[in-house]
Amino acid sequence: MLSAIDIKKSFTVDTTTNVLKGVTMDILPGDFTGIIGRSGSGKSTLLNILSTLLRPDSGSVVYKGKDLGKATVKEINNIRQNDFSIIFQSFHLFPYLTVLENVLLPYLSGVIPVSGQSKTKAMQMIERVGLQGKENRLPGKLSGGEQQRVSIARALVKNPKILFADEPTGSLDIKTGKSIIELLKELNSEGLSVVMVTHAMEYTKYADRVIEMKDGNICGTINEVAGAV
Amino acid sequence: MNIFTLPVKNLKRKLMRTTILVAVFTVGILSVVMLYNVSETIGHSLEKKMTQFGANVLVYPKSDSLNVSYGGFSLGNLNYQVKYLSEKEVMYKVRNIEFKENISTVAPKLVSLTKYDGKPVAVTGVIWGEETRIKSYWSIDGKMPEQPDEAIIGSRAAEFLGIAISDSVNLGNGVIKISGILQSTGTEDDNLIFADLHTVQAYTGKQDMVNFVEVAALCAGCPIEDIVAQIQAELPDTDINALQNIVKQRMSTINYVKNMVLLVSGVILVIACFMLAMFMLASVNERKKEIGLLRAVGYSGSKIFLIFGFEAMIIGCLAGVLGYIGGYFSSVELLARVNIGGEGTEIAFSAVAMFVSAGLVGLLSVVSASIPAMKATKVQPTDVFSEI
Ligand SMILES: Nc1ncnc2c1ncn2[C@@H]1O[C@H](COP(=O)(O)OP(=O)(O)OP(=O)(O)O)[C@@H](O)[C@H]1O
Ligand SMILES: [Mg+2]
Repeated sequence: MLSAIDIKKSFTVDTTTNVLKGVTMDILPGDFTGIIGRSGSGKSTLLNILSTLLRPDSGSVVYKGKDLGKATVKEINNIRQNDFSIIFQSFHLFPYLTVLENVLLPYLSGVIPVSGQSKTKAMQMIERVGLQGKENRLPGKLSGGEQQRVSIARALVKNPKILFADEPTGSLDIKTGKSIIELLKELNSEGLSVVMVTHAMEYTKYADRVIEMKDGNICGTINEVAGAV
Repeated sequence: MNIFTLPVKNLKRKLMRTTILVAVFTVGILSVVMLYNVSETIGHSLEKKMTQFGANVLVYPKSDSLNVSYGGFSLGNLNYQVKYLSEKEVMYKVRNIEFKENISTVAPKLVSLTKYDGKPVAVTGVIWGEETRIKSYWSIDGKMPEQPDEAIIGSRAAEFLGIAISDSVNLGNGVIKISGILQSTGTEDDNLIFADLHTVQAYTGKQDMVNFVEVAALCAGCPIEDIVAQIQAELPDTDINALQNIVKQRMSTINYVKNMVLLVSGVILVIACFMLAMFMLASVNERKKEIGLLRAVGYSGSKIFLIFGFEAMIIGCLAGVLGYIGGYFSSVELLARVNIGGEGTEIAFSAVAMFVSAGLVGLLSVVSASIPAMKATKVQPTDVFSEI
């Protein structure tokens, strides 16, 4: 569904760092893919390139047969709206919008008012992540785990094909983090493809496939870890 | 809820800051509106006041010989084939041109020669009400004429002829009585006797005849050339002379006031716009993460521009409406306090002008905010998410 072919990316601040040195990988539909590796190994960079937030220096990302390097800005925005979603370690909620309004953000990009249908969808997502009854609260009145659930609801409100997650449990305690991963796993079992960066080894057991990054390369792929544990 | 929910909610969240910004912007617009209103009124009343110091258009019969003019009026000429204007016709027609609102005074004159004690002297027939309006600098010893046969005499003529108050002067088949002496003005008026026009006409048998007419026109609304052209069209058999030096001098005084106002208004607006731009820039900088997130969920650059542009527009429109209303009331108040204005100078409150002002200020705000808003569209998610 989504393939990265020979992706290279370097950053130059004072010296040039070759962060990705030719990464090739595939994301299969319905898969839960884990990306692990040491800090600085290039996991986030890879995730951002896969999710269109970053452009590779060379190599190509192909989604549904289309080379995203050749896509127009409009096509990229379309993919970001409808096909890909991303959640982060920080939740990036708008502090002055309620839970419901935050979840509705992807629908707010037009001049035409949000339809009742979209609101219903948002309410369903809020319920799906276990926040029913809290839709009118401001993010500041929620726990970290709850805030991450809001950001997941926001990411999923438009039924994306792939959810990218960059250390979604990074700022949560172990128990809360586990519940978030379990939520992602449930969503995955309902058909959503998930690509998750983590450096907590214990979460790799939820993944169908784990890619390990080292020095800008994939140094190993562990398949069906879930089955093995 | 739509895309405008974001800017509106953000302004509400920063209520204090929004209020201050709107307040400061409003004060700016208010000053501009007030300055404009006051300058219009002052310009108008200034011009009205200035017409009290003389006319700026002369109407006299067509002549193939040397022009007859009031300053340096060649009295000798009057003995030969003098042409006259019809008082009624000229008065009526000048008062009824298209720009009649701009005609402040129409002062017809009939000059007639007589002798006192064997010495020649000119008696000028005038309509007192009109004449005093353009001769506000006159001051009289004795009193202004009240009876039709009363007259005043210029100080030099009085001295030269040895005339005192309540002396009589023969004129045609009648007698006029001096009721007052005009203090020295430094003009030809010092050498003349002024009497009631209709009396002079009656005594000299020149009913309805006048030699020339002085007109004081207000030139703020339209160029003097238009007024002259309109009078000329009504009175084809006359020569019309606009005293350009007087007109230009008056207009330059008024234009000076207006230019000052324009300049000050411009400075105020530039400062207000600059402030708004700074505010929007700060707003963009502190909301970079929000922008990044919006980009990540697929908002296009133009949508981001719309969000910030709309935010600036709300501030601008609010300030435009409040500034217009505030400016209106403060100019009325100010004019009342400094006692300028008077009849015909009331400032009109116009809802249309208010909305136009709101629209213009709104537009100006969007323009001011466009650089920060452009900056916002350049923000990329990966630039602002620190954990990446
Ligand atoms: N925008 C950037 N500019 C310069 N260097 C960057 C940039 N983004 C990443 N890097 C560098 O690239 C390398 C890989 O970064 P990346 O964030 O992909 O690592 P990571 O595997 O996600 O690490 P972590 O587990 O700490 O999140 C790091 O050395 C980092 O300093
Ligand atoms: Mg990372």
